[in-house]
Amino acid sequence: MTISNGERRFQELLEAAPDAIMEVDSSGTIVLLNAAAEKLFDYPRDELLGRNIDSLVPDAVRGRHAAHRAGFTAHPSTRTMGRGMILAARRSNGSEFPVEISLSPANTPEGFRVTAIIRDVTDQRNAEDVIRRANIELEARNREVERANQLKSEFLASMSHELRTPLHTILGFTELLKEELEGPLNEKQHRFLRHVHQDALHLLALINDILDLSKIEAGRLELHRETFDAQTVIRDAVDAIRPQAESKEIAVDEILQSAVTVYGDRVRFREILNNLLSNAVKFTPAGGRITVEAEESGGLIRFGVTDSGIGIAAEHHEAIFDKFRPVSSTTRGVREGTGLGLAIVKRLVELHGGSIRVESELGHGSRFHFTIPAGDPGTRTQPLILIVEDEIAARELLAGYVEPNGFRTEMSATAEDALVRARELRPDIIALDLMLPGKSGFQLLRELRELPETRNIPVLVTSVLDEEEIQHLEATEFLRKPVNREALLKAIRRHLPKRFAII
Amino acid sequence: MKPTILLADDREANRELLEAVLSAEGFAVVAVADGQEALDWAINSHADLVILDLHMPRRDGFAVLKELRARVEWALVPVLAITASAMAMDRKQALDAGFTEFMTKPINLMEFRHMVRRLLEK
Repeated sequence: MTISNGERRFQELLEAAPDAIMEVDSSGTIVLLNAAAEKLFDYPRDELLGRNIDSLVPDAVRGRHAAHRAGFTAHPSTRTMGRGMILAARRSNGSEFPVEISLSPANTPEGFRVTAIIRDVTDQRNAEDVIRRANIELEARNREVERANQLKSEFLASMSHELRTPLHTILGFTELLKEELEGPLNEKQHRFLRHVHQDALHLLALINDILDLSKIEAGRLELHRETFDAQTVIRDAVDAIRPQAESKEIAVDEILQSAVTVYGDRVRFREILNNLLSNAVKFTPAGGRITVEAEESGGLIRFGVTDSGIGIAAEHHEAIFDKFRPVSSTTRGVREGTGLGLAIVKRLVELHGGSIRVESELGHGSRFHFTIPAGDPGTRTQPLILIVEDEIAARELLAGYVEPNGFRTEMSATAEDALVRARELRPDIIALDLMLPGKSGFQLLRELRELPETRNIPVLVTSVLDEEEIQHLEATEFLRKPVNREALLKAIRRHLPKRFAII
Repeated sequence: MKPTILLADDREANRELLEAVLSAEGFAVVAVADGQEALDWAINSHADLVILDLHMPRRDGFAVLKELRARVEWALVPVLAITASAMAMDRKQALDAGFTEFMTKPINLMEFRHMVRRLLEK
């Protein structure tokens, strides 16, 4: 390859570059440039050659540019693009635009030279502005939603309070009168009082159901999950309904596998069963039969509550799970309850990560199926702590604190990994560092609180930040770094599920 | 001697209801209409059980409990909180504050009698 050939190739390369390229000598005079530079600064080539580079800097900072250049000449080093430094440049017509600049020094036979590569980042800037604005808007909207939710919760709490206050005296005095402490009542007065009492109780049930449903819908109902034997709860629920069933000569059977371990909220699980069983008794004529079944299948427990009752027409199979949806043609005048039971049941099942549906035909009984996650295979005897921390040393330190005290640990170095593990392992406690590479601990905490299966796992936040700065987070507890061993163990024991009480 | 029960509730109907129930059980009931009245009465008198509505004008149930607990002669008297607030938080808050027991309105009379007897046995 001849020298002239090499020079030509160099020239071609220079001219074809998409970025503006200029070479400047130690006095700041432009000695070489490409077509992109002409276009970018909107000068013909001969007006740029020999011009001082300072004239391409905006008026406001031009005075300081010579000093910057002198500094670079004194300590020349290659400065690459994309270090987040956005500078401004000036076109021939005086308009300014954002640029990123890379500089590389060179000692040539003609003396000291600096090559500057200049990239117009206007589009990038605009795109960033759009994203920033969208983010600000999103944050504002999030705050609004949170505020609305907060107001709704407050309204619910005060509404519940206001409704219960008069019901308290209505029910109380009714009961008192029925007890005839203030004198005997005749048969008719007794009957009237019974009506008042029944309807007051019905009103109370309605208030409680509405409150429950609203809590669920506002995301304020917390499940207290644990691994427990569903068999016991089913037996209790069946025993509780049996007197009612027997008074209608309805037989109630349980068909259970030997052990049915579920992972859920025991109280809410019982509520689901109670609702389905009392519906079954209500809509089954005398002499009928009710069966409760449970079997494990692929990480889920499938429950079935079957009755030989009046059944539900196919067109109502979905509507029965709605709030206050009268399905009068199917209930045939049975009008007890609040009409909210199945709506609550559906939401409770879904909060557990399960689903519910009904199989039924008018006149041929109903079968309600629902699923709840199965308990951990071979229920943990040692509590599991998931440590989310990107620094190995800090991770080992925390593990070193807790493992000798009977805890098992799992580690995650990133928020992404932690989320996957939390859903999979369902740790008993999560120790979370806020400053993680990539997705932050803040974001992870929000996501953990949104997912039904991780929502109730206590999260101990460890951070170098002050507590005030992170108070708005839904952390279970806050531990200032460096974490004190005793403080950590105390916090863990405080929030450990009750079944580990001995540790 | 009859056990004495101090009862504070700002609603007359509530006071009359609980007074009727407790009197029928043979207890002496002192019923007052707010927290301040309860504290005033408690200066020179003594009760075996205190029943406080949590939401009252002037001094609420929490304030009354705090002041009673600070007085030597009232430090160990059982105090029952009654409130129409049914959020799980309220119960925890009351028990954390030091109330001996907590009941939600509307109360069931049988449960209430049972609760009162149990607290008086302490």
